[in-house]
Parts: sequence; structure tokens; C-alpha cells
Amino acid sequence: MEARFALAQYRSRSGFGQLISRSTLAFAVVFGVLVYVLGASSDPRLEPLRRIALDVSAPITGFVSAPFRFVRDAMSNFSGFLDVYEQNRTLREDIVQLNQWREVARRFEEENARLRALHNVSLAPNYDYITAQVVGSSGGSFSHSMMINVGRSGGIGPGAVALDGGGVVGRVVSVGKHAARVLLVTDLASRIPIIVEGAGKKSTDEDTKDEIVRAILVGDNSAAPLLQFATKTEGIKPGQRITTSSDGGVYPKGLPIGEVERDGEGFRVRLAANFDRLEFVRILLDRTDRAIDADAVLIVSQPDENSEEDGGTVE
Amino acid sequence: MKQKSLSVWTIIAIIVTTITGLALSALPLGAGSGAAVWPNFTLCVVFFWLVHRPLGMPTLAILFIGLIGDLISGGVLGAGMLALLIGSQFVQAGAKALARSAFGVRWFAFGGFVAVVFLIEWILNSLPRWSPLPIGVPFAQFLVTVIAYAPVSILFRKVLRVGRT
Repeated sequence: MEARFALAQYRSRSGFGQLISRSTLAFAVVFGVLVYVLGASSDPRLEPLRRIALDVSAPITGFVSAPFRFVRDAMSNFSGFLDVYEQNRTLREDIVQLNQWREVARRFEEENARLRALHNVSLAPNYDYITAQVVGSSGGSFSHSMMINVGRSGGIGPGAVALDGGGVVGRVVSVGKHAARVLLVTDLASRIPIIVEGAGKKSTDEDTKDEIVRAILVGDNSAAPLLQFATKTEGIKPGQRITTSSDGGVYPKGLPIGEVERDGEGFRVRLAANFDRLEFVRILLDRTDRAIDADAVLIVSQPDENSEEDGGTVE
Repeated sequence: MKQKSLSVWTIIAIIVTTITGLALSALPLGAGSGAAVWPNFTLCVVFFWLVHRPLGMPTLAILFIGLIGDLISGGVLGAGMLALLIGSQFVQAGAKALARSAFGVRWFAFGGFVAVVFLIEWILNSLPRWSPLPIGVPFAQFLVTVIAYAPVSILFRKVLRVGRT
């Protein structure tokens, strides 16, 4: 094609050209410094810009990553195919065990529902989940975050907690219409109030409560975040379970995070979430309290009407 | 020496490769500490066009690419942008000589460019926290980015040749 753009000669040696070039550079530097100062101070005025970038970049990143996901899934499927018989046998065993547990769970649900109805209790806030696909990572090596393909239209807002099958992954920090950014628990900016289960003294007296050891999980860009500011360190031992506390009101209480591991004089937390293969995450959706003021209803899924062995709604 | 003006093909190639570079740099290959160390393709793209078609990579375009990169990565906004802007000034200063030099020299220069960008980015990301960030992962990313430049450069040169025919 012969068509050429008549662009001005690059870096012209004329005085005017040099002036333009230097002015542009000066503007760029001033603009860059201004954005950096605002960005470093987490100025909320930049938030709309982040939202727009999320909504625009998420579909592009998802599209570009499709071939890579295809190859990765194909490799995973192939390795799964190789041990399909072994998996089948394990799954059959699991089904038998899970059927037993299902019956136990149903009995407990029924009993709980009856007791709640008797006492007219107000339940703690309930949470729903929405599953989101991970469509982008932070890419850079200085921050740990990821993009997901669910935004305000999916009902999530800033502060929503993200989990995988194992435990807490992070929390939503920026929300676009159809995409959101999750700050991972490993990021330097991440601070999570936690409880170290089993680290406090058990009460021998019925009138006093067990001692609870609280601490802060501090991300430092490593695979195992630091455990700091513990209310008491004597009882903390490797292997103890770490869960979220509701201190600060950001995280709901009791979500699994990981286990304690020793790091010299201090402690770190081996995370339960699998960050190596994070394809989908569940986002917690906060629901309002609901008081039971009528007959209790089972929370378990509605049984098949044709099935004789399944129970029904408790009246 | 007069710089080459840009054909429509070259302009399209610059835009497409830049968008692809930005998207590839943010591929979801694991997350956080579990993420695979992945090249920063944006730096490969910017360096290649700065050397071979400087007209297609003016200062304002670099500023914009840096800003988009920061918005996608979710890091400290402006840190990557300033680092890219400063690093690109060194490349612009030696672009003519680099365009005429052997590939090995350009590759070495790319290593220097990436090192400068990463160093500035590391400093700018450390400053708000008043503590130095770990350098292990950035160093690993520096290495894979430098390695990735060779195939990227070969591919882009073929793209330029297709445009000439």
C-alpha cells in the first residue's frame, strides 16, 4: 500500500521541533509524577479510571488467554484420562460415604430448623456465593491481584470476599460493571484480622469463655503471609488452623485461611487456597439478617417429590 | 537522518502488537505467589518499535501504554508509567545507532532497558511502604523478559517484511 501518513519529521532538528519535543516530555513527566502521587496515596479520584480499565481490559485479556487456557485444559484432561479408572474407583467410594453423610446432615438440618422455630432466633448474616472466572492476573511482580469476570451487574461490591475450594483468596478492591479486581491475601497491602484456633486456653469454668488468640495476617508478596500482632504467642503452634475474625467488619467470621507454620522466631501461614491453579473463585454475597418468625423451613435443597426416602418440609 | 514515515500496515501492527502485549502480560497463569513467572511483553513491544519505528512510539503513546499497564496490573498507579517513560528516553537517545547495530547488541541494550525500568518500578513501588520490596520475583521476571525478546523480535521483523511486500 502506497498511502503514507504525512507525519511531522520525528525529532526535527529545527528549534520549533525541539521545543515541542521537550515540552511533550516535560508534560509527560509532570503528568506521570502527578498520577504516581495520587496512586501512591490511593486517591479515590482515580477509582473511576480503574473501573473503566477493568471493564475494557477484562474481555480483551479473557479473549487473548483463551488459547492458553485451551492448551492448559487439554494437558489437564489428558493427564486425567490416563488415570480415569483409578479416579472412577475413588469416586464410587466417595459417593457411598457422602450418601451416609447426607442423611446425617438432613437430620441435623431438621433438628436445627425445629429448634430455631422454637426459640424464634435471629440468624447471623447469611451469605450467598457467585462463581467468577479469573480472567487476568496482576502480571507485574510488585503486586498480587487478579481480575475476575463478575462486577456490579453480578451483585458484588468492594470488600466482597473471594474464596476457592480451600480457603480465602482475597477481597474485592475495585468493581467495574462486568469485572472486578481482587487483592490477594499475599499482596503487601493485604491485612486480615484472624483467629488462631486452639491457641488460647480452654476454660475449665462453665461461666467463663475460652480464650481466643487474635492476630493480623500480613501479606508480604511471599507464598506464606506473616502472622503478626498476636494477642498472645505462647499457645501458637505449627499446624493450628487459621480462620478469619469479624474484627473490623471486613471479613465474616470463621472462613478458613490456612495453617500456622514456623518461620524462625515468628510464624507464617501456609495458605489453604491453591494459588497455582486459580481458575474460578467464589465471591461471598452478603445478605441481610432474617429472623425466623414462622414455621421453620429446611435449608437443604428441595427433595425430589417422587423419592420416597427423602424428607419434606418440616411443619 | 530522516526518520521513516509510517505506512498504514505499520500503524496497525503497532496498535495490535501493543494491545496484545498488554493483554499477554496479564495472562491468568496462576495468581499471586503461585503465578508462573511470565515475561513483560509490553516492554518487548515498546523497545522494538522505539528502535525500528520511533515515529510509531512517541512520548505520549508511551505515557498512555504505561498508564494502561498500571491500570491492568492493579499496582501503584503511575509507578510503571514513570518507569517506562524514563527507560524509553534512554532507548530514544540511542535508537538510530541501535537500529543499525547487530541483533546481539540490540538484545543487550534491551536487557539494560528492562533493568532500568524494573529498578525504577521497584523503587517507586517500595517508596509508599517505606520498605524495600522483595527482589526475587522481579529478578526472575527480568530474566524471562530478556529471553522472550529474541522470539518477539524475530516475529515482529517478519511482520514488518510482510508490510513491505
